[in-house]
Amino acid sequence: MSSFFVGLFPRDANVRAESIFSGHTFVEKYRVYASISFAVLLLGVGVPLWWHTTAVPRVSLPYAGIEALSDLDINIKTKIIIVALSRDRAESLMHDINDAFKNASIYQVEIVYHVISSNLMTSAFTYHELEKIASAFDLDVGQLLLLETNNLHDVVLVGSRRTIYFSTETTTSILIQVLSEWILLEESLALTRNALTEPTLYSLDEENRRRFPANPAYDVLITMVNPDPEKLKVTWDLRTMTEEYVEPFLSELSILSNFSVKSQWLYLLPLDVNPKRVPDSTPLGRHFALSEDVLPQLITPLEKKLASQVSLRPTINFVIYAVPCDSAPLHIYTRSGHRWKITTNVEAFLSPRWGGVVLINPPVEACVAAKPNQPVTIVPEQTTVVGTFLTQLKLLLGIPEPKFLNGVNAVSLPGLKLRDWEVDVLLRIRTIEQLTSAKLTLQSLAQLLQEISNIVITDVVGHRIKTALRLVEDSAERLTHGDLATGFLLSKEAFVTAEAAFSDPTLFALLYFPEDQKYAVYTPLFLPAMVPVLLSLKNIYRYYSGRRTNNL
Amino acid sequence: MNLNFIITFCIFHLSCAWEIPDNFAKTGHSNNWAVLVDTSRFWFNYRHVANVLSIYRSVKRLGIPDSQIILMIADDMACNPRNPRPATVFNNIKQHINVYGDDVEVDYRGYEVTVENFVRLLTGRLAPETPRSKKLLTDEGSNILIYLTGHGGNGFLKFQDSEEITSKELGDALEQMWQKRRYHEILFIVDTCQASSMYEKFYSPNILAVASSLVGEDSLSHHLDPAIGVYIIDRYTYYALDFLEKVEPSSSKTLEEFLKVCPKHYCLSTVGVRKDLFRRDPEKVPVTDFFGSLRPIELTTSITNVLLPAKTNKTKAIEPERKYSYVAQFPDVSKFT
Repeated sequence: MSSFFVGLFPRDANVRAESIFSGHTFVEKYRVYASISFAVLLLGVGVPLWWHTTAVPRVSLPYAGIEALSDLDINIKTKIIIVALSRDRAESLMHDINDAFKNASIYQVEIVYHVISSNLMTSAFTYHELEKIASAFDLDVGQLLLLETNNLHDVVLVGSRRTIYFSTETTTSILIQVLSEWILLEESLALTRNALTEPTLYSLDEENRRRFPANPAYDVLITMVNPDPEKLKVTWDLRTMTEEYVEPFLSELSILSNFSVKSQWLYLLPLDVNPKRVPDSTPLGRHFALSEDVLPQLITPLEKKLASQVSLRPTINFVIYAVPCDSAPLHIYTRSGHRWKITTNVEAFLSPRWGGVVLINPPVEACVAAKPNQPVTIVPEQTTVVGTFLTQLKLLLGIPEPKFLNGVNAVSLPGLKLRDWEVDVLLRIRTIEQLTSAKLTLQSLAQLLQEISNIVITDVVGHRIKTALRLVEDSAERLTHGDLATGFLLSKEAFVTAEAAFSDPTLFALLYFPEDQKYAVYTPLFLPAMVPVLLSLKNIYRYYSGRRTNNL
Repeated sequence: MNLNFIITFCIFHLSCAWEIPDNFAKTGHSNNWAVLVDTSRFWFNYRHVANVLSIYRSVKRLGIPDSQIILMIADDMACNPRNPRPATVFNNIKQHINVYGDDVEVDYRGYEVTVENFVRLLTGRLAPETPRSKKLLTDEGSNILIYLTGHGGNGFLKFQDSEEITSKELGDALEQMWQKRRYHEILFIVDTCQASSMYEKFYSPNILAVASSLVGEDSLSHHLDPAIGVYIIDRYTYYALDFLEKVEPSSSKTLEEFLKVCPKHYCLSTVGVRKDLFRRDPEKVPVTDFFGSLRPIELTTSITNVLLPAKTNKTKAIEPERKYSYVAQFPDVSKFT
């Protein structure tokens, strides 16, 4: 009852309360307690709660570690085992090769040598026997064996595994050239790295521009185009072809990425240009000329119909275009005006980062024997077409064609297999690419997050950034220990994780909602409530300080 | 001998017939993309839709496939009930060109055209379930044409009626693209009032920026079609399209010519150009580096030896041949009644 009046008529009530309870301090005590509870509630609970709920949630990130990535050099340790017939030869080779790769920025070459008895080598005549000797040395991914033999026809023979055979007369310079231009490719790797980090200073070379960008998964889309199905019947089982040739080939590269192969037939899709008719002395009396200059114009119209964009993965296109009889045979002429291939019925070209096109001409006899109004049936030469396709695929994936060096040969491929050292080359290129890219992505992201303070950093993103950073460091560390396979796998994971962190949809803040706007919203809301509380603090202070003086 | 002569003669003619710039292979890019944005809606902004469709028509005609064009249109003029000629958009009173064409693939339409979506598109921070057609899947070898049109002011471009993108945000988004190596070169064109304010805050390399007007100037519309009742195209884009219509995929017109496209006495505003970030000489860059999509090619010179795989003894699952027959029709109910 009394408290009710205290609230309503403070002055009168005070007077009455005084008369009833005969104690001024008693009421004041409760009033002060009420003020304290309000103040504690608002300042002790309300303000922190408000601060907490309106703060931008940002996981702390290892900025220092990301900063330090710019000093992290990628250094691939490569072990080369030299096996020579005499100790002197082995030592001089070791010395020279060490000298040659001393300044390579990406490699750290470690060389050991063994001496092998010449009796053993003399007994080995064929490549298979050599291979057997080489297999005695246990080679890991990325390592190399240089084996000297005394009966070798070539100056240098590069094996299909990780062995380079050389004869007793081979000079060191040619060996170094093979190592540097076929296998280690240190200049090309350095360019790959530099072009990624400083694109304004270095521009991509032909190989870098041709190669598909690193990705954990690709689609390979094989399209058979028959422009005139009424006149041309193509008998080919694309599905069996992919199962027998393409998939075994790609399974060799399964460590690199996932490939999924698809095939399709397209009809009534003519070439968009008119090839020039050229009379000649063949039974048909003519052929058609397609200048190299117009080939770029062929791809865009094809691409419109390929539907390669249905999947989210990058697509490696491979188009087989069957030329109908009335525009056959169709030949490609180079810019200098020469027909450069006359032997096969296949003409082919590729477009960097897109795929390849193969034109197959019908056999001349079939066209000569063709009856009007009846379709000509052709059966493409499977091995030629697939062979062309695999050449293009290797280039597009980044296995460069070995440069011609005098006297240097490579053992021809056993079937659809890739040479082990070629896969190693690819692993090194991809490792460099993925690590450099992951580094750049993390640094760019760190810069963004530091500069813009109202971007939310969720736990997921924070975790990804930390994981990617750790993976980059781990991968670089594995590489310095010469463990290429693990280093590659870690770099791939680092690349994917960094990419996912960078492109996370939560990393988005509209800049035109600046910090001060937050206060503009909350101040009118909270200030009126806060003023009485703040004023009551003064009363509380006065009450307690007054009591203390009374007590004294 | 005679034959040889004929062949050489023909080849000479061939190379004359399709003149492709010699330095084509030296451009350094491997693919072309275009991001074309109309930011304003409502019938009276018909001309902005006509602008963006004009550029769309040109890049498509010059060879960029739809899968590499991101078209953002904030309103559907072709199907607007006030359009006297449904399913068409004209940029000319004489109706020379129906810029709506036969196949227009709009990737972001209506209320999807927002600052958020635009910046997400550029930086690649889209939701994982976004379809491929709404993604800008460029890499360090991509040349991108970015064309924006709408209503703008000093330092901003209005999106829809509710928000705007500032030049600072746009500059930051492009820098993010650069850091992520999402482009090789960008040609940035903006047709709006005070357009040059949009590119002033750019700081990333390899961008050539063109604006229809300088700060303090308005970009004006070209002409009115009384049948449609509104202005149907802006001056800058009108003359740009006029220029682009004369370009063929094989032509050697350079960017320098494109930059001079709308002199002051045509445009009534000054076309602004910013070249300092661009590292090539526009006089030597063919227009088709940005408006077309010619892919570089290489002839394949060798064939990998492929051995015939051992005939796999896989017995193919032969589908049993089934004979189909007609199912009896509805039972004749007459005998039951």
